[in-house]
Amino acid sequence: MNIRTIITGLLLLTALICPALAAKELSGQEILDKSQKLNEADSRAASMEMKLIDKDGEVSKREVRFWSKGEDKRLIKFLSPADVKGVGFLILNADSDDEMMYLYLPAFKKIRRISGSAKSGSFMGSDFSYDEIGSTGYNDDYKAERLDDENGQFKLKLSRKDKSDAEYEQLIMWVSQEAFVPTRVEMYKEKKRSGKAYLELRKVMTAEKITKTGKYWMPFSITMEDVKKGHKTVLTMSNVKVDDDVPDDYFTQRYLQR
Amino acid sequence: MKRDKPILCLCLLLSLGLILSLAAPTLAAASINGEIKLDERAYADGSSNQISWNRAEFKLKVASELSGQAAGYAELKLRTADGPDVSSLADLASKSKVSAYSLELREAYIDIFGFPLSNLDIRAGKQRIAWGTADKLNPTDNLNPYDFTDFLDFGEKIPTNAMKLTGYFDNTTLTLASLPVFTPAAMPSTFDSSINGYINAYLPAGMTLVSSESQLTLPNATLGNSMYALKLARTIWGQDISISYFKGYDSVPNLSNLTLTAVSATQMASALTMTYPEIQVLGYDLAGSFNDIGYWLEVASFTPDQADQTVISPAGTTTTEVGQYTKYTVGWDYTFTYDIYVNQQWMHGFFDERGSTLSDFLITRIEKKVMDDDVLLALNWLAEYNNGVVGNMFGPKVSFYPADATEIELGGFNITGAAGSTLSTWANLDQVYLRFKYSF
Repeated sequence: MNIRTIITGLLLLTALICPALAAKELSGQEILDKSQKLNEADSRAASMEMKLIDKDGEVSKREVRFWSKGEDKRLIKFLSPADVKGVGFLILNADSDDEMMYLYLPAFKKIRRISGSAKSGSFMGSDFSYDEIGSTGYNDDYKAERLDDENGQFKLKLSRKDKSDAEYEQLIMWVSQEAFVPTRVEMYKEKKRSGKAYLELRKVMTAEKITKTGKYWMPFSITMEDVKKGHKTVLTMSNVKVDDDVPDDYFTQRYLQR
Repeated sequence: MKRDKPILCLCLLLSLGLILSLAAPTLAAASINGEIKLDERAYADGSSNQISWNRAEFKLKVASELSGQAAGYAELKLRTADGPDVSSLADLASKSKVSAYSLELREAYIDIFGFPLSNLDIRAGKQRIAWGTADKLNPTDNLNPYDFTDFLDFGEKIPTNAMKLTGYFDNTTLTLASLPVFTPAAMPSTFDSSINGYINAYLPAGMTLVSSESQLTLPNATLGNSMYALKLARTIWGQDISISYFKGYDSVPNLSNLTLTAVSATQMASALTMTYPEIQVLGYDLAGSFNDIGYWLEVASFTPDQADQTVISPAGTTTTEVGQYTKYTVGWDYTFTYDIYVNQQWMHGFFDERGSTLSDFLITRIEKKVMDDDVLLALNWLAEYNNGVVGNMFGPKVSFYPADATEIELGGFNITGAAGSTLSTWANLDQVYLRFKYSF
């Protein structure tokens, strides 16, 4: 074994150990922040197909086209089924106190302002809420605490911040150590029984087909399961474009009704 | 004229087919959608159980955007009549009488985007120009005439020929609209009887009406009588605010002159003149959200011209002057826990009301989806307050969604109203309904 071999071996060992060491040192909040920052594209555009599967296994489909710019602008256009085709949904200043949501209804040729309370409502009958579609971050609403890693993934406990109006009190999240993408999120709501508060599991989100697109890792298949209803939605993305310079004009009432 | 309808319909469908086949190479950018509906209603007065509505409808929507700079849209509505239009033996030999239907070009318009400047869009053709932030009760929405023919869609509007230019300037939108020819409102089937009721109310005691004439005068279709409107909208501190101005004609006829003449000691004749008053409307809209509660306010100040009502009878002449008046709607909505949606609006001034004595209405809608969103439960409640007189209309509804784009709606409404209220005039219209709809 010559000196060259030893140095090469040491370098390889360092390369292997350092990320693991670094990962071990990260706090829960740092992991959460990193998962958002690393995969925060300037803009995204994607076609989404949703398969709604009820407890009897019956499947119905929805199709939308989605655009986002930064973290605060989102536009969704409904493509199918036919009764909602042409409906548009625009969110400006997302996840802030100045959030504005607009719904365009082609049958009425009218744009309606939507109240914030509608955010937690079901998105097209799916298990995703309007708030969850296109939302990329959790750190505005939750503070994170790191738990013991599981299956080579970070495991975090996210507790809702005092001033947040997020729907769930607590999330348990698994984050890929390679891609820093949440692979599973369990969502808990606070319930009370006999005066005692407890957390009830309401929904589980699972991300699959995590692929690097441009500079960013992202899941191409997301399943959201409503544990109480036994209903789930599989969202599959295609025609994904990131940092493709989506024009600002898209996020206006002018484009919403086109 | 009705005999020409099948030919007209055939020509339209053939033309559509021809256009589609010629346009085949470019059809990738065209979409064809539509709806099929069946609407059955019956009076729920407990005695007659008469069917009030029996209509099947086929709607065809064609949209095309061949480039990012222009697009076209057309919507055809083919609808059966409530029943056969047969009143003679000869009518039995006419298919169009036995199986009566109507065809309507609901909308047909062209969009030109970014013309003549990049921040301007033009829409020209038969179109619906919907203004106002309130939910269906929009006093500032005066460009298209009302369609009162369907009681369940009361306050619906009829698209009309218009040119609309919209300019986008950062956070501000300026809309200019011009409607060359006035179109009157389509009135409910009870309009005739309500006119008779109006005339009879002025008959002296013991007198009967033996003849009545009525004259309806529409504004001439001249450039001078064209209607126009403009609206300036902007978002300020998170609130969507707009001001608007409309100059045109009220689409609801005004009973401007009623002359009652005695033809004998116990009999009278009437002559009624109906006109459409010229109006100028200054509108103000606001919509916003506070603590996740949505709210809106819509105020319209009407300045009518020649909206007075004169009644000339042997007892003398009375004139009801109609000056400037204001209508408004204020409302809020919120989605409560368990996805219970509540929408409530206060409306001052009913659709056909004018003048200083306007009624007030509180309209409440509660909705809840159940069974994995396959069923929607809804309750509509309209409460009227009219100078101490009250009325109520309750309308429960259940919508089933057995498959994608498919809806079955079962509902009814019960109307009560003290004498003098608007709702008292509808008190005999209690109905139940069953509707099917499929979209493709």
